[in-house]
Amino acid sequence: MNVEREGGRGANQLRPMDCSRNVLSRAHGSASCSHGETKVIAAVFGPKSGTKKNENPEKACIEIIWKPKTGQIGKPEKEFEMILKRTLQNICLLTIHPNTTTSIIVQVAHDDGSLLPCAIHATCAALVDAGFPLKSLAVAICCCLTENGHIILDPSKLEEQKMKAFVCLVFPSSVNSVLPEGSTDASAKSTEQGIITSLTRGVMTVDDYFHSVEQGRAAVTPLSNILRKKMQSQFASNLSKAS
Amino acid sequence: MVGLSLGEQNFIKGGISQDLRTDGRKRLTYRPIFVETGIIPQASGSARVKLGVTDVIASVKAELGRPNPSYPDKGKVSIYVDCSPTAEPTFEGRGGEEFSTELSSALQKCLLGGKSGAGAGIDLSSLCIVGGKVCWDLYIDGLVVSSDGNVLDALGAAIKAALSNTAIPKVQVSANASSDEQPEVDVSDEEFLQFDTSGVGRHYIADATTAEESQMSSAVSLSINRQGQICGLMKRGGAVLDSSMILDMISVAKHVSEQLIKRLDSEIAAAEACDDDEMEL
Repeated sequence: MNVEREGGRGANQLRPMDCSRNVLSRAHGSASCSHGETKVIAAVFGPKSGTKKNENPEKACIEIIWKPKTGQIGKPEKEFEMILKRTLQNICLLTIHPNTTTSIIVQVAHDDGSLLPCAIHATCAALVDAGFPLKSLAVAICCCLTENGHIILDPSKLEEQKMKAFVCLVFPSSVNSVLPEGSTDASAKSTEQGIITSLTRGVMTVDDYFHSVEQGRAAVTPLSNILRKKMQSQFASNLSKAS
Repeated sequence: MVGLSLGEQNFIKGGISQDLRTDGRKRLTYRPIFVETGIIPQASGSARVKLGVTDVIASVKAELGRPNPSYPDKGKVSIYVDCSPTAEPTFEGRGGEEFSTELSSALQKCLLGGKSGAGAGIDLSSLCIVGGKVCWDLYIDGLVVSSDGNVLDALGAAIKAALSNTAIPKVQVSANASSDEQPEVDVSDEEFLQFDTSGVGRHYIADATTAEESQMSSAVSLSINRQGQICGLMKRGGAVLDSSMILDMISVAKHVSEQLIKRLDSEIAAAEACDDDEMEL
């Protein structure tokens, strides 16, 4: 039942992930995230006063600009912008800064598959770096369904092109709460297990979809711990620099 | 669409939790569908679908073109949706661009399948004429004339009707002759469903109107084919949903989609019969 993958990766094995904050000096917040060869840089500017024409002024507005590595901005970029915006609207606390706009610029440095999860991680790290209020972080993962029905995680670009179907999932990261145990109500716990965003492409059976969700979620828990550790270690070094 | 007062919002939410929506429908009932085909004579195929107040027109134009070098034995299909300002005053100029991009990309994903073309609603190899040199390019255009919620479903139905109405001339390569037989484009049947959840009580409804859509906390668009496989599942942000709820929605979607496919097929057949009668006169 073992699937042959390039580089000898297992079906459930993710590529090495790296995330660093504060990579750009003039942005209010910035981060760069890489999954293997795929690398994305995100910069946050804001909050600036005023919202755009059709947006609700009682909440903060998030504006995403997606810049591809090469070529002009077209439909796929607009689609990514919309997906990122909707996903971030779920994890941000928008009522703290009403009537403001925060711009997030996402620059793709290299695309080797699994681009959307990498962008989501970079954006979350950049928002943390900027000090934007968030409910929780988001962790994302891509799953692919091969011709013979196996599910593999975190595909590279070559693998993506041969796939029968493709699922991209975003989950809320686990919350490290300062409240004592027992005071969080049951609804908060159940939302931790949920799905924020899910996009599929290609045909798959319902069972395949749910297997991908389970496998993705199982892989995502260590991933969210890794992300948190990377950000925490940088906070410690920031403090030491300041002092 | 003016904002809703608190009283109206509570009325909608309360009604949904009691399985009685503001227009008297149950949670999973669709609005009456009205299909008209062949409305644009210059196009290869066209259809107009009215889903309650939501009104969309789809047209299919076929042109000869070169296939993509990486897929030499497949034709090309491009889907574009335009939101007319008659639907919403905010759609004027560039205002409707975001919405139309969302609709186009959702429809493209559902109809054209994965990157390798696997599982597509339209069989692209049937559009090939001479491998690597000549193929049919299908340009599917959608126009949203009036929008009262659930535009995606109406567009899916309109595209399906337009494609079943499409007649492409049969092309024979030898001696530059083209005969005039009218085969129809090969479309595997599938249905689009959009499921929205309302904020209160974890209930979900199908075929929401604009007022109900403004109250929903998250929306899931599901596209299921006849074999019960998922052709596309899109949940873009919104409230966090448990996977058990999504499983529920998928099983309800299958059930409702069977009824919808039957209704749609009978409507399309009735519309085509009308067309044939008119042509005979």
